[in-house]
Amino acid sequence: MSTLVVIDVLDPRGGVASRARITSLPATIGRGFGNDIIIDDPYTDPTHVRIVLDESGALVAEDAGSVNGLRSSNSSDRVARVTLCNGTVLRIGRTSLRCYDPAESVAPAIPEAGSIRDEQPATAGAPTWLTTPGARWGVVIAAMAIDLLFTYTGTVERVTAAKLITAALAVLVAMALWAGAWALAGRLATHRAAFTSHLALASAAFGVGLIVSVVGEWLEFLWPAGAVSSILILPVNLVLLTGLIYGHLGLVSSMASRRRIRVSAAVVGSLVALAGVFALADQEKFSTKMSFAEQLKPIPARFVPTVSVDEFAKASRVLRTAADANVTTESK
Amino acid sequence: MFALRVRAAVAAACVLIAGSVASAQAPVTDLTSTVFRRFADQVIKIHVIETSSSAKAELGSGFFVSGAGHIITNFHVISQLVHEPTRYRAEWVEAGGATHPLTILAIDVVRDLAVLHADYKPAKFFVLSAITEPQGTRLYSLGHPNDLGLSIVEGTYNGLLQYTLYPKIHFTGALNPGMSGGPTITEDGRVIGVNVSTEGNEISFLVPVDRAEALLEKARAPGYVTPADELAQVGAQVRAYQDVYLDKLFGDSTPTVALGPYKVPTRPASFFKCWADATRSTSERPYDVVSHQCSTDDYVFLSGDQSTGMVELRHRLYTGTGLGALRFYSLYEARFASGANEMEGSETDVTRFECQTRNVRTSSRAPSTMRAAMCVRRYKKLRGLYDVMLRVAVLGHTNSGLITTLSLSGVSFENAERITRRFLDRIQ
Repeated sequence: MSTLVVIDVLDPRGGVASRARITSLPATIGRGFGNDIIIDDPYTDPTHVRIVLDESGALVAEDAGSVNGLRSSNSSDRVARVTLCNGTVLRIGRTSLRCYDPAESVAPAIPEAGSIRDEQPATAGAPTWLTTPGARWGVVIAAMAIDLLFTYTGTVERVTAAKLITAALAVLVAMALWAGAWALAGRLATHRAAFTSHLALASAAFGVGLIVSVVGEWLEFLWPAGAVSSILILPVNLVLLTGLIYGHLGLVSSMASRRRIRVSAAVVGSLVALAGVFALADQEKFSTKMSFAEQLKPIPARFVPTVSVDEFAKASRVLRTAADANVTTESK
Repeated sequence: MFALRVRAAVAAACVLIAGSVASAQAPVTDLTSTVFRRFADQVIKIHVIETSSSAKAELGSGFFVSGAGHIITNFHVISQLVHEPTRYRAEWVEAGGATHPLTILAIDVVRDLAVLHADYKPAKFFVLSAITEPQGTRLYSLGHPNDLGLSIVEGTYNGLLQYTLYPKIHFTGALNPGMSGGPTITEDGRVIGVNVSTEGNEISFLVPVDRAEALLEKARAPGYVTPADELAQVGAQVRAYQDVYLDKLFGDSTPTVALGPYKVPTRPASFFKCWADATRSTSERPYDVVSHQCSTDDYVFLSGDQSTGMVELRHRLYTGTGLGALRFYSLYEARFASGANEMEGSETDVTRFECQTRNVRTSSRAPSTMRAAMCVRRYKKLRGLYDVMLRVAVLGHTNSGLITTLSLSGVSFENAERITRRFLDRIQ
């Protein structure tokens, strides 16, 4: 008998607790032992849902008059029926069900644990540099090379190979720890570690972040009055961080793309809010420290945009206004 | 706490060496004991008392200068009373322990003097009158060192200091903490100066008597009314004081000194002292540093946490031929950003700094392009006074760079702006 639809009963972590084929209609789902699919959930009715053909001949799941209703995963509102299938997720009681078209193909088998060379990315459509082992290591090496270059140009004491290697290793270890944490999460959630993919992703973000910071420093040097950091560099870094988390989530879960964007943005937004609270608290605190834009770059003086001494002196008057305001603020 | 104003760098040493220096002094002569017997009664011990605990917060000395109970001492002895008049009170303590309340009549914060009044009519007192003595004259300083009882210290008059903003007497004698505000007199009891500070090693300083005389005359002038807000007086005097010397700084006649390819201003007035130093490159630190700095020695005591009225300029030339342009500029940037703030002041005295940075092109005969950062903070209790720091890094060379820092403490913003404009144009 041909299969009409495949139904997964999901566990609370989103894993598959059981999988059943529906071969005849009507089929029922519920807690009773006479159902085609039996759910062990005290919040479901003995017969909770019926699977039937609707007026147009489409396969639907309809509420059989349950106490707690039928819901589609996209909404918390009760519905009378949900059209199947194409990955539709239903909720009855506290149980989620996912349906598949029987014609849908499945991924090939994963080789035995211990070999990370043949790991597969969790989502189809991942970029090539994340799926190809050579490209992944190439990205890691490129990020390390950028870091080495910055370490060398930023060292003013005598440079030795040991110092450079130590600095690069420290960064590599930090990224490996970050990637390892995500790989562990992936192993637990989808049974796929994808460690080198996570490492490549972290390395790419790190390398791009270094380049963005240098661009920001040059912009801050050339236009110190332009608030370049807050207007340009900070948003770019936030997008980079959001993209990094988006990429990691794509490797550890089967979350839909839009949902991943929302989750990533929410995480980054929370971090920004937290940082903002700390910055605000710090701003009003007394300090004898002098903080100013200190960037200096080795370009001929004629290429540096400048102001006159008179303009500089006049622009400094805002400092008096701010210092006067601090008398009131710090007295509170 | 014992009140004698000491240089910050040697403050601890002064307290530590007080005992050893005292024990190394020459034996007291017959004349010394005669001077002591004749004039001891005219010198008093001053306590500043914290009112809630009735405990002594400060100790100093003073001396009667009129039969109506006028007393001369240092401003820094009674400064707490000026800053927090409801929290502190002043009294003089007789040898037998009896105390008499003191009130402030007038202050001269720039010269660190104060005129107090006691409701008491002393039988004997010092008469202030400007005198001149030859260098080498034997002098006798009276006061209460370390609350050990009234003491006399013999010393030598070594004339007025040469390079100061206002006159100070160099007294070679071991003044100790607690003797602040006491008189230094000749053998016949003429006051030559008021004890004010020491650098240890018998290098001490006195405020010349003519300033004390002028302040006393002001306090005794007919119609004189003691200001209700002495702290406002402090601010007004500091503002007036800076106008005297800041106006002359960094004019067209300011001398310059060559540091590598740069010319920078140096010793803008006679009351600045300058030093230089050089550090050569090593295998570990492959760059040279040449430094040249000038600062005023004079400062105005405001409180135990804050002195003001200083001007300092510091030039540093960095040369890193072994570094390459990118690495040299990492060094240059790190040095531009670093440098501790040495201007004094606690959270109750000053606000935090507000800073801004610009790339500036000067318009002098030899124009320069430089990165200039300016930081400003305001005095909370003294209206219209600011601490200002200007730091400049000259741009355009790939393996050498000049960083200059100009620090001004206790200045009006208008003066700071005027000095900034002149200073930037002097860097070539």
